[in-house]
Amino acid sequence: MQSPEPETVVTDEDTGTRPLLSVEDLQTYFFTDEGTIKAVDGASFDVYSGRTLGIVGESGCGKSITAKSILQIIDNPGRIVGGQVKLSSNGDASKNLLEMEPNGEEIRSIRGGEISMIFQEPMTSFSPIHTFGNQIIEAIRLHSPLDKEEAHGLAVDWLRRVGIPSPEQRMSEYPYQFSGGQRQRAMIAMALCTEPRILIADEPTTALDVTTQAQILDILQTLQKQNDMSIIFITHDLGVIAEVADVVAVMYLGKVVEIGPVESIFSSPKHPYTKALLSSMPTIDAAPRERMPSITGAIPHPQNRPSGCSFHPRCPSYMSDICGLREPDLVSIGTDQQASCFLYGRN
Amino acid sequence: MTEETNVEIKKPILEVKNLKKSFPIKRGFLQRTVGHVRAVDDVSFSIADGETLSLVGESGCGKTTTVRAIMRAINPDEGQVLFRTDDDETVDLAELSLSQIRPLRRNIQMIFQDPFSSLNPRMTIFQLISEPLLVNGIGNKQEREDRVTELLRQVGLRPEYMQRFPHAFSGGQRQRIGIARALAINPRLIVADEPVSGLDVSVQAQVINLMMDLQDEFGLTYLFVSHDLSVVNQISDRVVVMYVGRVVEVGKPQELFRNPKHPYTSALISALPITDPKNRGVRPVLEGEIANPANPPSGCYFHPRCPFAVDQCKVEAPPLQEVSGRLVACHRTEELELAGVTKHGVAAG
Repeated sequence: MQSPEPETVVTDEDTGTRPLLSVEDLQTYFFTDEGTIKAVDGASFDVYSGRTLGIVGESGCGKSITAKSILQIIDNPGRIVGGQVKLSSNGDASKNLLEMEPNGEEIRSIRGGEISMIFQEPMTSFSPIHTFGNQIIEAIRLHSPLDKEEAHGLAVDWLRRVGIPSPEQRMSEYPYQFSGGQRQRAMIAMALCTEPRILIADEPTTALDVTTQAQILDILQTLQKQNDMSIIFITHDLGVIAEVADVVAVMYLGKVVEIGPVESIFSSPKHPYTKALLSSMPTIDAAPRERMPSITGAIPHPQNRPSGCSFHPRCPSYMSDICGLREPDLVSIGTDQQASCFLYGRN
Repeated sequence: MTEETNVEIKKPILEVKNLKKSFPIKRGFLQRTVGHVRAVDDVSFSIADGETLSLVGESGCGKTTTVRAIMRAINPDEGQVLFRTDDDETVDLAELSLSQIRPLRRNIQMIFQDPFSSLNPRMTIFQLISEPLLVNGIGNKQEREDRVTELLRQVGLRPEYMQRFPHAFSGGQRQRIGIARALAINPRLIVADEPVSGLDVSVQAQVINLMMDLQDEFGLTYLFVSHDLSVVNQISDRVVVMYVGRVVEVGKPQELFRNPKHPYTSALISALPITDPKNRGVRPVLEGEIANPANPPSGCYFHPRCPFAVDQCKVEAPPLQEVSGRLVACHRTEELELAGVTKHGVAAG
């Protein structure tokens, strides 16, 4: 179904290198008693070194499942049924993460090692009965040969780098003693202390206040520069995407419907869904009490995915002779943008 | 909607005066009170008939406690909540007993944040929406059914759905059901606590538009609570910015956001994510964390984080006073040039 040549999607003009991580035609389905839910149904994108890929979409679009599929941490009854996740190694070979045993040694050394992940709710990501210090030290020692004392020093250092005041003292505190923003900082410290090449950030600022969110985004971008790390940033918030992403993938009902550089996505969105999403975003500079353009209807339940293009029942540019009948493929528009819509060709 | 100034509302439908609410902190085996969280610390504002007033602020600023005290879901410690009734009488909701308040509740209804937990999953849509009618003894079964049909149409849902249960509806549809339920007995004031923050962007716009349409149609007054400045800008006639239980600035959204007079308002604006990737750049990030309402700093609560704080700010709490047609609580407001929203939606440095 999916026909993109990933190399044409994003050219890394700085280095011209191969992608660090390449996700190709990923399919993750959930097999429930009520039927099969195609949570991710053919997602493809590349992640380059030192760059940020933003994955944006509304609830049920499969953005979180995509992220979890990369590390094979899908809960039952979900299963990755197809696709490849290629992680390039230091040499020229690349490993397909999906071929690894989900509980095997190999993928476990990658999780939290080469690829780390941070989550929306830092409270549930930490153990409430262990101190922050012990949890961070454990993460460090799992992935490096450091002894306890060295690991302790490194953990303190990382807490300082993410901006936690008096880190030495806070090492012995428990998660409930931290505020929401500080917990998120500590989680970033824990995720980054192993110096991963890729950080997957799943809605890391959604639960935070705007002033705290600005602080956290600031820290992530500073640390990204220092470590030349790639970030896969997942959010529903287009404002945050505008702030952090280099390349944006817009997802709708399990598929990437548009992908391209962040400036192109915001200045000339191509897919009707991207256009609608951008125009329904409330802005602080809008005239007060003006009616907002909104997308008609609601996001369908993934189980009742509409036929053809899954956006067609809500689409303002719906064409009756094709949209409900056939599924559009991603097609290139211009040099670096791709969208799956029949407005841009019917092949 | 209203021509009233920010400073004085001639005939407010609701006037909150010096509202205070604190919660005891209990510790230990004997549950001794070791301190108080000052959730709402001397808050005053008033709402004109037919206007939308928004309370905006970050978590812990006391916006939800304020509306809960107005609804008497909790009892305020001090202050007045003056409500103008249908007969043009003014009653103090803070003083009345709960049985005296009951008949007044018809006039004030509430819309909640979470459309999943605020609807009883065992009741049908008809039962949910007609419950306020039943409680207030309005109409017989047929009349109630007609009213629910009408309400469902008004909020953009098909009346055929009446016998379904909430689980069959999406978040946006449930919020519409919540709105229909709030409208059922023709209230004059609707208190909406973060009504769109649980919704997806595309659905959020629909619900905001619906709320504005219903306001125009029925002359409703909204007290709108939100942490989202963009949503607040879209829906409000006036905005009250709160910080750690206190009001720091009151004004019309376009004035307040373009030309903030309080450093906290300005900091909130500059913390907003930009809307255009071309405008990415270094911006001032507000240092520190929101003050702890159990142990607030001296003087102006914002002074430890304020880049403009002087010695006076550390000792003396600034009163809320009129500054060029706006209410501001800041000692230095007259001399400061604060960054606001420019036409690109970013704070100018």
